[in-house]
Amino acid sequence: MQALFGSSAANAAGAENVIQALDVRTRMLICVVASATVIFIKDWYPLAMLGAASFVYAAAHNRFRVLAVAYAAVSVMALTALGCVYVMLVFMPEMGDMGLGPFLNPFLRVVILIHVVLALAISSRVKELLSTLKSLRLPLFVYLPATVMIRFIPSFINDVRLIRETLKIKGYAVNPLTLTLRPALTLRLLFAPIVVRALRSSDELAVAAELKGLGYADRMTFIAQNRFRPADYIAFAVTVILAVAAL
Amino acid sequence: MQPTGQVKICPAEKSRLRKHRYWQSGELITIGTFAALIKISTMVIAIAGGGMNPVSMVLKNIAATSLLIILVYKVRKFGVLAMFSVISGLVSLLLMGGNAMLLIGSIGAGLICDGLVFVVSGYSKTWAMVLGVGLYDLLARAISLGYSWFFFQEQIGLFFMGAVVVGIGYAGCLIGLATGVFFARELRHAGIIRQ
Repeated sequence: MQALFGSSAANAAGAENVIQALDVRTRMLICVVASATVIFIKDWYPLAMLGAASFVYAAAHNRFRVLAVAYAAVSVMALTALGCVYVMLVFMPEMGDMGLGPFLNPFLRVVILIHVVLALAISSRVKELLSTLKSLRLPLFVYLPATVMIRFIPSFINDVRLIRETLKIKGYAVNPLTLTLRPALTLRLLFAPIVVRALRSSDELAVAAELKGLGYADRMTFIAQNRFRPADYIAFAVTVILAVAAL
Repeated sequence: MQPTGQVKICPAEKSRLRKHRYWQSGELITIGTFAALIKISTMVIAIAGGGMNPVSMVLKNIAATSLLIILVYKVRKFGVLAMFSVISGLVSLLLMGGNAMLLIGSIGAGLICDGLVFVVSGYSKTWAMVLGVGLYDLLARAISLGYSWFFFQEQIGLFFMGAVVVGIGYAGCLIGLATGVFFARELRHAGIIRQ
């Protein structure tokens, strides 16, 4: 999400770290390989090895604060889930064995995916993402809505902020208490203005796109060509070797 | 005085301009806008609800399904749900940490449900669209649960926890089917949706 705002210190300085030096397609491939590999590994030590390797990959971005927040969120979820599982085990002891492997494996899988996915999400800037979508040679019917979605998310976040401010001025507060006690009213107050705004925006954009003749070109022309560099091949080779070794 | 405004177009260019495209720009933009809107509205409700709040779990699914119904009402074409899955999954993967493996299953669910709606009524009957979206939500959740079974295979209790949360969410989807139709009718009455 931070990519949408492009406000990171590294981005502002124009500095490139090891992850940003990789092509976005390489980072996407690493995510795909990681998410496919972790479901086939049953033992905790290959998962721990992949966890360590993915930590090095994520840490290369030097965004330790974001990583710490992600770890904190996973820990809270894990503790909540484990608490509930212990309660369930009291009533249904046949449900699971709480040895070291069974205890660690699910969380190791989650942590590996968090590492690779955070590295992708934090390090990609909007411009980079859009050029990646172009360079993937996706057809217009995939490229156009994806671009609209990426461009619209910050605008909708801003709209939601404005709606919350408006509601505050009118004396309505949107918080867990009001949402729990008066869900229908809260949903109506948040939902109706943003839907009408979205429909209007999509109509205006559609008219603008038609007037500009969007979609009538035979093929897109690219200002800059995104090509894989040696670092991309090396990163992908290391990923495949690690995945095969872990399996 | 010579006549102005006469532009000669070569035959190849003429045939290219006449080429009929299945997806119009306006429809693609609507799909992109709604994909963004669904992501943001569910995120806002989840944050406002304060995490594991069952009311917010139900509410965010009501909002998402209602918006999906409005989208299908607005773009009545075979492939709208599959297209929504592709866009939503792709952008989630790039920006929000979506899972790459779920993208494939989600596209499959979209295609199955699009096929169902197309075969049953060709996107002309409200009940068929409601059925399609309801089945899409169910299949997408079933695929997510299938993937999470692989994830939590050693701790089946965690899988059941997830299944309970998904079940609560699906109750919200079922309510969202009704509210979506209600919203779509209101928006049509207001002239915002013209189909």
